[in-house]
Amino acid sequence: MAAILSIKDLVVDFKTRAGNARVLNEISLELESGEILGIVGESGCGKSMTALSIMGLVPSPPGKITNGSISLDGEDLVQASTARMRQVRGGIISMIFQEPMTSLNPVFRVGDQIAECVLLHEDISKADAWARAVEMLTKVGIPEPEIRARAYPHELSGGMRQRVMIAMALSCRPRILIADEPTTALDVTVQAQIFDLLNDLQRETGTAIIMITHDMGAIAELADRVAVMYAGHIIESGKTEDILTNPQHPYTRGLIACVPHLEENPTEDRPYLSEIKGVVPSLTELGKGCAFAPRCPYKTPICEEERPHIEAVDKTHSVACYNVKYVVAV
Amino acid sequence: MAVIESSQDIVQSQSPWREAARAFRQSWAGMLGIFILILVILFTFVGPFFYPVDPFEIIWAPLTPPGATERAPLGTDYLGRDILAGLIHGGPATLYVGLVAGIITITIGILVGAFAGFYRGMVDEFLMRITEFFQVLPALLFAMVLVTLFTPTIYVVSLAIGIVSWPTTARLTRAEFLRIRNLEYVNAARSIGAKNRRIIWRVILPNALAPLIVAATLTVGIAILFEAGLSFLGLGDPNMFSWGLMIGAGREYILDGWWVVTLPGFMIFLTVLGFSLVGDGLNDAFNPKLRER
Amino acid sequence: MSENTLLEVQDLKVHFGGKKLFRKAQIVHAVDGVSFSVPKGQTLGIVGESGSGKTTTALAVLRLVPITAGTIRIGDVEISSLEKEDLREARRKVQMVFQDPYSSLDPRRRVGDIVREPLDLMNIGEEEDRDQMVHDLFVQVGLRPELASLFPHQFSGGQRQRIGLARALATKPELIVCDEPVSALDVAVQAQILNLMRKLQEDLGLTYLFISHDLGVVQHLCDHVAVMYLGQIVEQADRISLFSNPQHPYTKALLAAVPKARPRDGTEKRVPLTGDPPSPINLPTGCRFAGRCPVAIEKCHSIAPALKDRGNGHLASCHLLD
Repeated sequence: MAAILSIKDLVVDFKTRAGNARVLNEISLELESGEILGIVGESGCGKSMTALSIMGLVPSPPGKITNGSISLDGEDLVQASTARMRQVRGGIISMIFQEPMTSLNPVFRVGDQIAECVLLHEDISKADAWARAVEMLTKVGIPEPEIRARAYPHELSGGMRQRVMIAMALSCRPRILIADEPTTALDVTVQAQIFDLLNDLQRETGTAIIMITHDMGAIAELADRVAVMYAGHIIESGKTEDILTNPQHPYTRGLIACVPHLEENPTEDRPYLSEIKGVVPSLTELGKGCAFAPRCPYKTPICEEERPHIEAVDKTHSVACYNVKYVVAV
Repeated sequence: MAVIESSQDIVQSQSPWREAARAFRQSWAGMLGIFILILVILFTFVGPFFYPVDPFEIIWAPLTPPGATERAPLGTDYLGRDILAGLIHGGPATLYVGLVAGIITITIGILVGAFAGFYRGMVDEFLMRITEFFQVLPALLFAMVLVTLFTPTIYVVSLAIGIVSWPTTARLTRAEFLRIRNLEYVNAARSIGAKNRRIIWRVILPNALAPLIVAATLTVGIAILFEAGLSFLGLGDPNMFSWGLMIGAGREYILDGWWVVTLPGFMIFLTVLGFSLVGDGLNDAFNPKLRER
Repeated sequence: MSENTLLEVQDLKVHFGGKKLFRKAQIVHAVDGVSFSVPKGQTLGIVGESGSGKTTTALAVLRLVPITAGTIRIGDVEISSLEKEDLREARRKVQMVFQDPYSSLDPRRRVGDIVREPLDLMNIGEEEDRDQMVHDLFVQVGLRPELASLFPHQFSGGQRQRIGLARALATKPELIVCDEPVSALDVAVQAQILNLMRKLQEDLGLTYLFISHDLGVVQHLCDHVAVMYLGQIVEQADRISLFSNPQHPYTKALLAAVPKARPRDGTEKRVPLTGDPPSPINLPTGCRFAGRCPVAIEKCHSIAPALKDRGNGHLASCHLLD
């Protein structure tokens, strides 16, 4: 399959009082049409900034894309005009956010908000736009969509609101949907519903999805491929199965191991959780070496000297670590 | 904002107040406001030493325009009194009224707002009904009634202005208290055994203070305008020379001598502008969203 | 009440709201008849979704919300009947760790003062020893004591949560109520805090009441687990029994909904749980879960099931188990 979106060597800098913070450092990603790509990492790792860069929404100042390209079917979005980006946003690439309450305008009916979104991008009548809104609400599994379309956001529950957000995002039949922590604010049972919904919609419409999350569980549920980010770098990427069962980078391993996973048959034996020692480094004080080196249990002298490049370990799996073989052997 | 790393470097503590002070120093509006206020204060407090002329003394022909005589560089009023001397000597009274009225406003406002917001329920209902009562009274008329009922001294004028302006501060304080009382550190304070008094004054109030300080600064400016308004209507203290009084006394001669009202008006404008700019600067300083990340 | 029970809650009810002028009475049944006990030195986890009343239960144990009915006993003190000064004194034995590390510390105080405050307020130790006590508390939670003069905004989320723990430990409490203490933290930091909490429990013999929506965390940390739904406990058992042999359909659905961090193999079948939890204002008659329950029978909609022992102290309330 061909990549519809490909990011090459993207660099985003933020000017802060403490100095220049490189929030994205030469990241490269490919999104193939119809796949779900997960981007996983802790807060501040740059995963949300990746999404904002694609949407052309990097807050500027203080942020600035200083290098690299984001090409959508060969068109570089970094160079695109503001007017063009407006067309792209919502029309070709749309986004859903973590907090469904604050992303909907509380003073308008949800149906109107979806219709408005359609009217912005397509030349159709108001009645048709409304019909589309109701159709979309049906599609995202909202019961009694005609009635719910007339509801205001506060009249809907959190799960419903997130469904409305998804309906709005998909209303112009975008080719790419970016979901930034779409289920973090929701209860587990509702979260499971949203996962199922996204899965179904993806299969039905063929929309490619970029799913941004801190939760490996969510990745396992949805993503076909995963990119793991740390301090502005992509440090490992590959198929979801490979990353989950055979993680190569010490950070990925730590990230998977430090979460207490739910066991179906727990035993009396409860070892302490494995920890990643230390804290995430400040982006203004990154040295020339590997960003993870100060916390890495396997670090060697070269790790602090030179930043490792991301290299393929097999056809689909790439890692940025000098000690891959060592780690694998352990 | 820097987060402490596990490294061993010694870290400087950053008090939120000092942070705000630093941000204030970087605020263009705030520094300009401070500069203006310093000028005004120097003019009125140091001025008498360099220009020892009695503002009540008749020194030249009435309604002499500025620049016409060396005895009165800024001209004279309808009685032939020196305008420049009036501007210098009218300052302290004006500033005094502004400050005292501001302090009264803030004190009543914080007390009422804090108790209403903290205790809620019946206390809140009762205090807010009183606040609304004062809020619906036409402020200027009510102040005029107060001043006419008593002798129009500078104290009564300050008190009258304070009494009519506190409801806004009370509402602001109450809103801040309602917001902060639900934050977890208030519950935390309670669970380590803090009493209500401590929670109100030591935990919630310091955190509610930022918008209140901004409001207080603006209140001083508004009180100065209020004083000018009362004096203009002839309700100021006739024995204290103030800018408002100058305007009030000269209002009938505005067509014969523009300088009689314009010059004191300009002083009021400058002072109020100074307070507003300082308020603006404080607002920027306390608003973390506007500070860089 | 057995010898080694530290916290015992009997039929706790917390209702909010009431009649307003011109408006129909709207009573929120946040907690509606909850009973549980926690043995000394152990951890009881309360899990549930938003609106289940788990946080209100936690706050009620510290008397931070008004209690409508029921008793709360900590050791031999009935904390639910205390007022004013007695209550203030009694709070020394029970402390709380809050969810949000950003709003649980007063931003205008130095963290050293935050940790010292309970010592001053509760009059613990001699005045001149308190600086040393603060120093020791910092060490205990894994923070460098030199950082005591900094302000909360200078710390990361995990460090702030450590400060919150130090403050809670200052009064040498027996019981610590933890309201989602790690849910706002990044996963790597979460592991550090969970390990610290376990270490502190082992070292100091602490008892935890642990509120969480994260079943993985609860399974890791807790000895006993209670599942709450709309203000009531629907199932309660020891850790192994609850997770390996869940009885209540809600518990089953909850466990099935948790994403597993391993690749999908296509064989897993989720119990389809539709809709959102109903509001605690207009409670359904009968079983509160009946509206969403995949296996509900007619009886469920009319008669509320009782929480009964289903063997070995495994409690569950469901008609289908009777």
